[in-house]
Amino acid sequence: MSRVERCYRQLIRLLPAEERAARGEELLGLLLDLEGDRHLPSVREAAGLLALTVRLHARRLGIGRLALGLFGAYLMVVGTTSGAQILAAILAPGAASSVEIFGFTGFVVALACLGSAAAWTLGAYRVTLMLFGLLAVYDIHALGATYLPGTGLGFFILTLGGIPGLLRDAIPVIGVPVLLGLAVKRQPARVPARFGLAGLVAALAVQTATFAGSSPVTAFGSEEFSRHYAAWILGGACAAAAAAHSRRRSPQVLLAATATAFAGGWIVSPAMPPSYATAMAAALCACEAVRAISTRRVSLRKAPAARA
Amino acid sequence: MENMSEQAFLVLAALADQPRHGYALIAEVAAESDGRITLRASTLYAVLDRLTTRELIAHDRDEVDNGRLRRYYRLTDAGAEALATEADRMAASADAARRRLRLRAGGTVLGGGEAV
Repeated sequence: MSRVERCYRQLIRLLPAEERAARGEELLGLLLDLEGDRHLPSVREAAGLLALTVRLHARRLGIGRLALGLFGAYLMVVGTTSGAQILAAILAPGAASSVEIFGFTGFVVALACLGSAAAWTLGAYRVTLMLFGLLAVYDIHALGATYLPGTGLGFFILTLGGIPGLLRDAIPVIGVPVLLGLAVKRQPARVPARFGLAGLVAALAVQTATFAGSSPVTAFGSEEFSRHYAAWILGGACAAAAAAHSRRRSPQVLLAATATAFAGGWIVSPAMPPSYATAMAAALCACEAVRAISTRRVSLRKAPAARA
Repeated sequence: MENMSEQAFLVLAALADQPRHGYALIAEVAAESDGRITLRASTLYAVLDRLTTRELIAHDRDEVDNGRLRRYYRLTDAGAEALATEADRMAASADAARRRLRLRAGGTVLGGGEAV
């Protein structure tokens, strides 16, 4: 056995067992044909094989769709919150929200959040990635500011609440782009964006009204704060549900997303406002579960006809 | 097949005349694209997987050559239909573009869809 064959066999061993059994030898033969007389695997082919391995494992675990759903929820919540803060600052400059926009930098970051949510809704994944790259760069700055004092402002609008310190700030920077690499398709299905955009606008309106109507000092746990918090959650829930529905086009998905997000956000402690992002993630998990169940039912109904 | 990628289109075209195995497909795709597209093994693997799932191609036979397994794929009737549809669509787009370019070459400036 040549050295290049030995190397490729080791790489192919990383593939999911089912894929390896079905097509491992075929893939090995193809790789050896392409390498010719080389003594070592080429970087291009080896890197491609590793990427394929990651994609196949992610597909087997269902991570791709879930990652898309989680990322969509994250964007919708952060986007509508950011956009609402901008609008509230313009429409009602005297009012104050519990999360403020810090200067020009924060304004740009907030616009990037809103833009990425809109791009995601419209299916413009490359624009989403570009804007999210900007946000990730900013979050690196926020990490430095928080854990390396003296480097600048810390700004937590991008972070998920309810999760301690470094892990909370690192999630958007490290985790989501990695998941995106697994989940984003090159050619997404074309679905009408009208419903998603309508949800985005509705959520924006609800949250803007909430921010604009906040008193300068709103105590956590007060009745007024609870009402505003409920509006935040409902606005974010509508946005996430609309984003999910614009892709799934299923009433069950819509109901599951809205109900789960609202209930989840209400249950999670109101002392951590960004925790509704976690509620949105729960909503999108519910969407995926409903979709998976619906799909399985449909496939079972079709099976007898296919066999005939 | 909605929004067929160029890679999938070229693979289907490479299978139009006869069944081929992976290495031959990569060579044919490179020839069809004048060297512009050189597929990696992993990329071809994914393309073949998608096309097989959509029943546009099917497994034809396996051969062992010099200790290496070579799996041959063939174009299905559905695949031939999808290839023809996509080819017609691309030809129509190309014809429309050429018509516009001929008008441009004739010195006519197009505005609002009107031709002089």
